[in-house]
Amino acid sequence: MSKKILIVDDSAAIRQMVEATLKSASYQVTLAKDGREALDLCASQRFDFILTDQNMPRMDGLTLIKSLRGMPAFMRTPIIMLTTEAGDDMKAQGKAVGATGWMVKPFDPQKLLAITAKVLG
Amino acid sequence: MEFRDGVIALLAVAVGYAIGLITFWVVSPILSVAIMLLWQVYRNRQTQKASVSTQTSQDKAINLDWHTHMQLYQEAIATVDECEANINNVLTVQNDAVTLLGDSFDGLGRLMTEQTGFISDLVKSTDDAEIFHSEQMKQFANNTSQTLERFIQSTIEMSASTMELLEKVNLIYESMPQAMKALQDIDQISSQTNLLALNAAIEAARAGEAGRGFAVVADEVRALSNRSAGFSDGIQKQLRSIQSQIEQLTQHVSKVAAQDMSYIIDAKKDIDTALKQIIIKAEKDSKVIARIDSSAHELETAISDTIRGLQFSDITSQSLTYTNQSLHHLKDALKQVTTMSHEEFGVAGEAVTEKIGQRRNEKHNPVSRNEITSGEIELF
Repeated sequence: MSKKILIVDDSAAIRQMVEATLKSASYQVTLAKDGREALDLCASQRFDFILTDQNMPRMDGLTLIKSLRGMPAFMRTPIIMLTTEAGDDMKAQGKAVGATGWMVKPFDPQKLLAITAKVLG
Repeated sequence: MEFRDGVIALLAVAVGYAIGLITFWVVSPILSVAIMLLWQVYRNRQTQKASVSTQTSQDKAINLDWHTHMQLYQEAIATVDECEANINNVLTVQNDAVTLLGDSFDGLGRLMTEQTGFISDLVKSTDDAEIFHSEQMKQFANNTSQTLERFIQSTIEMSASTMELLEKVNLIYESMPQAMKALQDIDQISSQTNLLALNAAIEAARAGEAGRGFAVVADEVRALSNRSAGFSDGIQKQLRSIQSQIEQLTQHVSKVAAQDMSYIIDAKKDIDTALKQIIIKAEKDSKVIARIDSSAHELETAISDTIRGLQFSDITSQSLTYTNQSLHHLKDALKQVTTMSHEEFGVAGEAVTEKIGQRRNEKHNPVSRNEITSGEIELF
């Protein structure tokens, strides 16, 4: 049974690239366009790993993580931010709301697969 | 009547004189004062006019300057508008292009996966085997060559053995007349023995009763002689039969031995050439397979680079959107200024300037990187 991964990003290009990368390693991939859509999906499904952008319409990544950490099913789920933001203050905020890690765009597919395997391992 | 007219005329002169006096003494000062006042008013007016004239030219200068400013703001707003429109166009074109690129990339990926599967099926001997078809063909060619070599060697050895066998059979065949002659000698001995036994029987009969025993011996000797002749005859028949069979055998074996072996040698040469070609092809295929394997790795790197490169749209989109928002903010502030009078600007201008700077302090460009190399990763 392959692991289920949720990708949250308002950029269609990023969703497409992350999906292509993770599917090449036979992961099951679900896509969401923003934090709100992701939160709706998480209400009815479980995911083994979540990869989210920060700046998105309706709900940003930090708010999403904060909300998910309040749900028993997602308290310990690995959630990594994949964003163009690279400031230390933003990273500190991510850490404070319970993010597992921080990846700055653009991502390298091999590195993404390596980090995915690591957090799922 | 003339008198009354004279009185009226006198009165009229008196009234006229009185009016003249009053006019002179009352109206003149009043007129003088009025004229002086009017002059004063005129002078004041003139002074005021001069003052107003100076004030107006200053105001005019300020108004002209303000108008120029307003024109400048209007032009700036129009330019910002144009910039915003251009950025929006760039964003639209970029998004469309990246969607197209992404779809094409997906299609390419799908086709490449299919192609890799086909190549794998083509180069592997069976679906589940790990050994490549080319390797198997090479092994087959080598085995066939060795088998053929052994077969030809065996054939040549068999041919040589047949010739040797034929020679030995010939020796046997050649010894047959000697055996026949020996049997004929036996026949002669038998015949002579028979003759001797007959003579002995005659002599025994002549001896009468005394030769009776001898006659029995002579009969036995004759019987033995006959049996000996019978055996000899039987052996001779067998020998002739053997001789005949050897002749047939010699004919057949000679025919086999005389067969031309050169066509097998020629066939071997042809097969060897074909096998060499199979081996060359198999070795070439092995090299191609190694190249395909190496290409697969190169392809993986190229796909990684493409995936990384295609993310530029998200990065530039965010940066351009932020720039557009900044321009919009600036435009709003400029528009606000254009609705103000010079005096209003004097009061609220500073706040507008502060508002422009405020965004820079409060907001930041979400994109911090200016390159497409992969970003850093940090696990908390």
